[in-house]
Amino acid sequence: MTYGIVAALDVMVPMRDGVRLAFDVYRPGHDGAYVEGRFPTLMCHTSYDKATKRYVEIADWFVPRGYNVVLVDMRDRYRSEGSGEYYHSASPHTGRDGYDIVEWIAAQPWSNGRVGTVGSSHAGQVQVRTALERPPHLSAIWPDVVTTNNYANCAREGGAMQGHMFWALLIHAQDAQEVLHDPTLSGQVWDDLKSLRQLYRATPWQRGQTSLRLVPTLEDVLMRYYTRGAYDDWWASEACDYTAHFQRHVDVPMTVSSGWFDPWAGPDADYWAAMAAQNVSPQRLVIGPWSHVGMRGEATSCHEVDFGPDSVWGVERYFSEQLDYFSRWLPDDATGQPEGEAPIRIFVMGGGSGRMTPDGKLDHGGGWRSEHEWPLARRVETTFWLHGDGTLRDEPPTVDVEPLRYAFDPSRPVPTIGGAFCAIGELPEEGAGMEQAWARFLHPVLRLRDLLTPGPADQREDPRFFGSEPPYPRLSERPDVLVFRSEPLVEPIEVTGPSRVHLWVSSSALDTDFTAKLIDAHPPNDDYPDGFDMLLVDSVIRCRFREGFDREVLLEPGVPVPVTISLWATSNLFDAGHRIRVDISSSNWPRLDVNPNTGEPMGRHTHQVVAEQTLYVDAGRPSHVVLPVIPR
Amino acid sequence: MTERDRYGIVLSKNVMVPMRDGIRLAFDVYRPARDGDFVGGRFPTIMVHTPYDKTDKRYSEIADFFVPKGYNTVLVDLRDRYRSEGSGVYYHAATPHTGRDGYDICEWIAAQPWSNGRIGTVGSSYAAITQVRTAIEAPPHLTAIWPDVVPTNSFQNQCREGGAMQQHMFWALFIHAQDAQDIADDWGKQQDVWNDLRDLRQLFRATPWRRGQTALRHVPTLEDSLIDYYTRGAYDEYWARVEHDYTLFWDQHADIPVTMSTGWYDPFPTADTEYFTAMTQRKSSPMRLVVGPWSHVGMRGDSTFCHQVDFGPESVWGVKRYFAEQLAYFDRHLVDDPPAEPADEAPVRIFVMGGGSGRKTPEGKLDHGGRWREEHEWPLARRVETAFYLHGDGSLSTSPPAADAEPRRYAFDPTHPVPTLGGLYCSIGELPAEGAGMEQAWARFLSPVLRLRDILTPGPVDQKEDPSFFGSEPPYPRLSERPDVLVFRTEPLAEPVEVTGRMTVRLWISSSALDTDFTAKVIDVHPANEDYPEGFDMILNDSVIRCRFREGFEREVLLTPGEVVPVTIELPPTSNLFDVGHRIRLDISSSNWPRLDVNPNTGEPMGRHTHEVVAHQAVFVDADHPSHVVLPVIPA
Repeated sequence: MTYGIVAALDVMVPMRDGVRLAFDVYRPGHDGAYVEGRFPTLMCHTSYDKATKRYVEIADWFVPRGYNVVLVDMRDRYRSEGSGEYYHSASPHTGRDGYDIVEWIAAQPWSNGRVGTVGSSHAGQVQVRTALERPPHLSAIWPDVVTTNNYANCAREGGAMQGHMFWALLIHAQDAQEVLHDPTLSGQVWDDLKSLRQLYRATPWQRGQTSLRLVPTLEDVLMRYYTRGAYDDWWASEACDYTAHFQRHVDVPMTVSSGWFDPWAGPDADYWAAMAAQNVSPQRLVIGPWSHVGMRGEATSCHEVDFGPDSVWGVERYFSEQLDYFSRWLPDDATGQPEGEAPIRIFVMGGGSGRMTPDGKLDHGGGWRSEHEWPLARRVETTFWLHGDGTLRDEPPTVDVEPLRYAFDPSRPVPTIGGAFCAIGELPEEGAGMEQAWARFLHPVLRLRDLLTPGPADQREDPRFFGSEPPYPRLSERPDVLVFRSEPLVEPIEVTGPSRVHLWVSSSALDTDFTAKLIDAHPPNDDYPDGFDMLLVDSVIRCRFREGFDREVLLEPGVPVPVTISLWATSNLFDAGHRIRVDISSSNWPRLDVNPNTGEPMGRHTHQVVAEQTLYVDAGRPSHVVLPVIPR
Repeated sequence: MTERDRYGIVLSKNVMVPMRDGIRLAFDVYRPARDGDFVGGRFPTIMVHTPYDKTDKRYSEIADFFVPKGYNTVLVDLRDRYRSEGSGVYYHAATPHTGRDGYDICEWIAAQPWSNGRIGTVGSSYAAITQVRTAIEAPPHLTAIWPDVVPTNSFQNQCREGGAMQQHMFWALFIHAQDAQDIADDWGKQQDVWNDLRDLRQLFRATPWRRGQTALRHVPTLEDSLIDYYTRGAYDEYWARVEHDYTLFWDQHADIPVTMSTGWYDPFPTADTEYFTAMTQRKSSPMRLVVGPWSHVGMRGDSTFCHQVDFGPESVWGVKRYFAEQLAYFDRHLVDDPPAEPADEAPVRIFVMGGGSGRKTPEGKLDHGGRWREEHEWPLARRVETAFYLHGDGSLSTSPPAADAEPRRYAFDPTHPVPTLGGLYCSIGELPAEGAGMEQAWARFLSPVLRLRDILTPGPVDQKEDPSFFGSEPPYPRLSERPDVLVFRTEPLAEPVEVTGRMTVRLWISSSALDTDFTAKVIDVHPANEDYPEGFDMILNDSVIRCRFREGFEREVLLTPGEVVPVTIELPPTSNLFDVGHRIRLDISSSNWPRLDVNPNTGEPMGRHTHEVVAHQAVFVDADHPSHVVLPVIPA
């Protein structure tokens, strides 16, 4: 039976504190009237305007199939009332509002009492926040590409700030209720998005400097993201660190989905592992070779690399999978978990020809594989040592090897060339005119063009990439990048899971950063005469946090210390003839803020200095990487 | 939110309603609600019938505005478009079922228990075409309509003009092809359409257009329409059909209140003012006309300017005023207890342009100024039709020309046409080349339509070629410097002269060609000042006559080379105050491309020429051949 759709728009529903949120309630209809009876409900609670197509299409898809769909504007956003507390990811009421939304739905005569949740990114976070509040009628959830710990994996990472959040705050400012109905105010935010390149260079960011001043809560958030370097009470609050509150998480079926080039593949896999350990309900995990919104895209490629037709879900598959999933848990005749289904599906990248596809992408290939646990029990944590001759080998270094040295100049950081971040988009300058009356219908968000594109990219500077500078070297040619390569592999090696990089370092600075990148170095061929240095994962350690993120311990210049860089999970087959490569450097900008090397308070530095870095690679101070190798 | 906003909204999506032939159209029915459920009772209904996707914000915002104020709003996808079923007969402007479907939509609404039996229609451009087509079918429950920027006669004022083709329709067909049902499931064919829109400049030069040449081949009905628009030069039985020429069917038009709105830089001020006049003459219901200094969508814009010229804050309606005016209007005619009809409301509101400082505004626009004025009839009864004669010395004056004046001559080379610099047309936009990537998953939400950028922007422009305008070429002369443009100017005016209404240009010409074009353009010449050291030659309007149609559009009569014949160019209406110190200027030439197709000067069948030749033109300006323009001067 296929139903029609009847929608009650902007039904105002009071939350426990009296603030009313705007609900669009889509219900099965027939001949334009509501169909009587109780149906299961999918709920989506979002900060991004429930009336946009990306939410309405959820209703268009599910309601004809016998679901109610309830779309809710988050408090302080769009048609909902506010209390002036929209702090982006760190808004305080989100979980309680989610609870009240679920329970309101369950009390309606058209609800069968079972509510599922869907949504990506911020609309995934609200699902987790709601699950932490344990509303009795929340029955199954599917958070897609969700952060779990703002400090560890969204706003900051390894002690540094993630640059995508600076951009995200501007995106949340342009449609903040403070500016939404005043084109001159929202225009100031759009002007900032036009001069984004300059703003990324205009650090340290100060209050009043950007148009975020028009939305004081968001300017507050920027200052916190940028200057609260240590994990403190604010970062530990449930608005920021869900992992610290997982023990409260409701025991319901969950599917969590992410992509290897999404910022949250590793955190989402860890979320799955935590829930699988603590809950009785079946938990599922899906990770594809996707970036932040790639699961719903139709492309076989992500940035510069093609993963083949199997890698594509697209919105049809996404919705079909969700329907199949929720039909297990929400309808009155729900059948529950099918026998024998593996809880995990991951896409193992690699195995392709390494040639260029007709679309101009690297054919890296890969395939889906089912798994039963995370991390994989059969993995062999394998140490590869960094050697003074630039090799990466499974044998430790000798005693008397000289350390490697480089100068890290914070005014010339290593540019970000792909990787795992949400997106950073600038607004292009106006072209030839579009009449203003039409322009009303073109939301500037849709005109944004990537300043930085996430995903796998060849590690070479390029005029197309923000931050690259002539003569556009391969990053391996930069004097501030140390490269360690295995011999060409005789046998393929699969690496699946998180890795750790242990370094012995010293610096001339009181504080500085060390970065690590794991790269699949494709050998040269006719299409790629220089080979293709395909970035898999990267991360950073800000040295003052080397003894823990809750305290700052400055370096003593010249004194060797151990530091650890945690690399998020990936899944890649390093094919025969490829090399495993690890790059060590001290910056990756603008994905990460640049350490000024002064040891001053975070985000309030007065100057920057060149740091003379030393990386030790001898037997007494053996730098190495531990990779989770999967036996074949 | 206002005090009038008493209701919530319940929307029934895609209710499929059969038309008389069984084809079902998709209706989005928005009704007043409380607490998420329908409010009982009968309400008046606003109806919109569109080919452009009824779920688009420009339509759903109509419901967002009217429903809380106690109106139902019914949005309908046109047959063969979006969620409606089709019968493969979507021919763009030439679609046959539109009026009958409108009738059936109207009567279905009136039969619903939630309808009070009174229905008003709104919508612009194509969604106004559907209103007039419906009114011609006279459904009993159609109560009042507001067609905004609507053509009335495709041959005269939409697809063709003066015997030439209006090439905004070439572009429009691609806009209707990109989302045609024929290719909705074929991404590759859609890309072919978008690629044509990327290559639009080349396509405009790749004439004569032929079947199979463009991506319109993927949508055969639209390719048919292109070939019809392009090659049917004479007014024939095709152009006389109800889908093209509503003016033949005015007697059938429902006798109901109509508000027509348009802009002096919209393509349709001729159509809409004449529609007003025809309805006023034939019907007893109150008719209203609003004409602002706007282009095709300018009424709903918030800017004080149109293209390069500023008309001051009073000129702005914007969407708020537009909706508020519509609400007041439909309240009079559709609600059960209507407010009293205002006693002395003037039926006509026009914006008389001019009177500004002539300086540059902070936004870089010419301050031309102007003000609204109420009138009681159209055309204005008090106008004085005043002939201004073209003189051999380039002057324009009310004194007749000398007996022995030599004709003015120029060569018209169709490979170097005069470029279009503003005027009255729908904007023509190209798709820019892709910039750095937008992730494909996001791109799903951005219709490429919204990425189009004007290559031709309508409205008033200084008549100077410029690299930013398509068709202009180095050294970017003022058009008055071109050898193929004849310029006739009055002396600087000692007193202001207001011209309001249509104008007629009568020329005595000869040509070396068997067929060729003559164009006329009326310009308000602002004197030079510090901001505009060369002055500002502000286009008011322009038009054309294709000479083979000089004896009527039903028949083709080629020229005899060298023989002197009279031709007439009918210009659209405007309303402008030529201020003291300004000059009234008339430019005569033979092309205005790409607004109009270029005459190849061969006299071959229309749109099927095999070559182009230079035409040597003569315009006679002597006492026996007194070329002139008749201006409707309004006494001060």
